[in-house]
Amino acid sequence: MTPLFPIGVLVVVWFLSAIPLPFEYQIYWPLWLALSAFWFALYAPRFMGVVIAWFLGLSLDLLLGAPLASYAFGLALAVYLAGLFRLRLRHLTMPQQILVAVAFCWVTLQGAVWVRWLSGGQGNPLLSTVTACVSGLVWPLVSLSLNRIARRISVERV
Amino acid sequence: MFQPHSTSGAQLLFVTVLSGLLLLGENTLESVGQVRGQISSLFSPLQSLANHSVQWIAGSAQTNTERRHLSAEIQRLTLENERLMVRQQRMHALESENNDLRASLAAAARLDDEFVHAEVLAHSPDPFIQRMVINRGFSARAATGQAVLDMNGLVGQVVEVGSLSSQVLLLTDASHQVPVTVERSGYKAIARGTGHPDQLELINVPPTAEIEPGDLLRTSGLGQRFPQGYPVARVVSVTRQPGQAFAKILAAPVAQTDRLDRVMLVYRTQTARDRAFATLEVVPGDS
Repeated sequence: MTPLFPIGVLVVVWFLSAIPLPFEYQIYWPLWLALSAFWFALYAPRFMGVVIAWFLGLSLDLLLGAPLASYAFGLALAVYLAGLFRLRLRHLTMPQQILVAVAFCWVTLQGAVWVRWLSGGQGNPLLSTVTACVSGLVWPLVSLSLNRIARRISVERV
Repeated sequence: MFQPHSTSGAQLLFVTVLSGLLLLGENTLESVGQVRGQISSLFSPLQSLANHSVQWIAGSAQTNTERRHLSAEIQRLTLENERLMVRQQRMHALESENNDLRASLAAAARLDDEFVHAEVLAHSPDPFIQRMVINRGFSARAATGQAVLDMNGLVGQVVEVGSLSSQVLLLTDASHQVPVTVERSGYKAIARGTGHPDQLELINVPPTAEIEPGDLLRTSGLGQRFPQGYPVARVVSVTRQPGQAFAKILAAPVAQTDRLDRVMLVYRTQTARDRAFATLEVVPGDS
């Protein structure tokens, strides 16, 4: 069991989240942090609880300059929901998991949008649906990569 | 490790309350913003690395030495040119102002602003947020509310300051407003961001206001936040509909806010008026 694995994943995910993109392409950039959180919530839940997800979301708020607690709340809510159905979700086929990953990212983004509205911000919720769909499309890549790495370095999966 | 649902539910309730408190604190307490600025600085190396990686990939075609020399020379000249362009903006504004003052035969000497170059470390990849991170913080005397320019005009203002980096809220962000004046007619208005990088809107402008497409908007200096006379945007469309109380006026910012590599921080020279305002702010119980 090595805590370096989630830390390494987190650094890579932060890096991917910080990559600057032109405005037109930003909505097509997957929500890498939410996808990796989803993977940990399904396959390595000892590394991913509601409180940890909240702090991870908070790091994304700081990284992206979003209102504090927006992504934090969204991600915590999504991880809570994933935790409720974790055992069932793990046994879904890949196409079904893609749909669930879309829903997971959508919940995260919607949570962030709600919090922004509370703080007086604006945002088109339909745009976040596009981001959630794109994130779902890269879920197989994230899932297979993390599964392979976890198997290679013998990360204990529950 | 399996967590009972009741524990997760309690944790969710806890983080929800924590989120509410954090949100409340950010909107009411200035100290929360300062702490946030300091913590955000921890991400500066990562943002810088991501930014430079993208630039490196984009510039990987330039491999030979001659190109490197040329690139360095171009970079130096670009910096110099940007500095001069900003000076030129100021000169245009001063020239216009000077003419007006001469006409009235009464003018006080105006002091010039100082500028410091800053490199853009990152743009916020979130499509709902128009912000960027620059490599100037407390150590470079950056301060909240400081105006940020590029070679074409106003870019935004500093909203969070860390030790070595700062967050800049772009003028196109939906939460940003800037007082402007129409260069041609002198009409005063407020330009608000729309959340889109190439669009601003003028709010609460009556249909009879003297504004036409093509008019240049400059900072009016009202509100004491932005220095007067810097270009902000050019009016793109004016829609006056019968029965509507206000005209719908859209403008395009003169700065390319989403494609900036370098900007300049404005250090205002304190005028007698500024000092008077500062004195008023620190007098306790002043009405």
